[in-house]
Amino acid sequence: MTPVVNGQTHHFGVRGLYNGLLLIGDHETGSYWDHITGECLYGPLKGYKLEVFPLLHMNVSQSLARWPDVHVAVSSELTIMQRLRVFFMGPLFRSKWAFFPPVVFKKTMGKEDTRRKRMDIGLGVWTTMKHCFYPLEHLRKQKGALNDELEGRGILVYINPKTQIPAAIYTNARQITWHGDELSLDSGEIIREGTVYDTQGKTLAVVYPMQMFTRWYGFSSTFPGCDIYEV
Amino acid sequence: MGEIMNEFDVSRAIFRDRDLFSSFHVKTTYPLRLALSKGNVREKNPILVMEHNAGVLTFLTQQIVSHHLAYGETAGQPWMVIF
Repeated sequence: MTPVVNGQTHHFGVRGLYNGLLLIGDHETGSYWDHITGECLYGPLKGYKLEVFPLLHMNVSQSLARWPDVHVAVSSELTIMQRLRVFFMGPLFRSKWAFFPPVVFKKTMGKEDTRRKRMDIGLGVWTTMKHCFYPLEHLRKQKGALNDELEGRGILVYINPKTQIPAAIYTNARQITWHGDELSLDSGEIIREGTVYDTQGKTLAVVYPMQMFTRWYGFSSTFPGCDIYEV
Repeated sequence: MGEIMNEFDVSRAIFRDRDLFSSFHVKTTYPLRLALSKGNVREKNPILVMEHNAGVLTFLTQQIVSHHLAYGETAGQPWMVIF
């Protein structure tokens, strides 16, 4: 996100909970913001919206294949409590037996959308007008890759074979075929290790729609009435 | 389905006037390739990639899971990552 409002940089921290999701608050005005859409939900800046960008999941080798000169930010500021929390809670929350976080989270939830199970996992993709959840279960039924449309633009949603994390890119390709861990598109491009290559093996720039690898409760509470990709 | 916008229900929101977690203020970055060659990261380590107006920057997923929020400036452009 770009933490700029009316040309002024604002400073944020995690300062609340709503719908089982974190709220961020800006130090300058004490307003509270949705960390997914960038919209200010409460406070003096209600209605303002920060510029948002997709945050992509990869591993180190995949990102270097795509951006050989990319930099990494490494924190030395983690508190002991933060490290312990991730060490103990992380694997449990990521497992297929994931349970909903503490009771305090549930108290912030409104009426739940029961079309999918609360902790169902998938890729949420959205534009200003269209919001669609692609359950991981359905992606797997489609052999890990599918074509769809988002406001008239073609997208490819696929599961990265190495990370098992889904991602979406804009593409005009209509036919997709797996060859081992490589995905061939009928446009002639190949997706390998999360990077798109042309027929000459040259890396191509990729345009990503706004997307988030998330639990159903998070996406459905952020985008009520969202579409679900069904198979 | 069309947009179904819910009004913000302040009665079930939890607000705090201080940060709940220690945010990560990014002041220095390193070439990821260098971090890999030095053994500070491994090829399969999960990372988060931010493709911002000012460029691309990566973060160790585990660290951002801990901090929840990282912020900094690149080429004079402020940015923020929340997870």
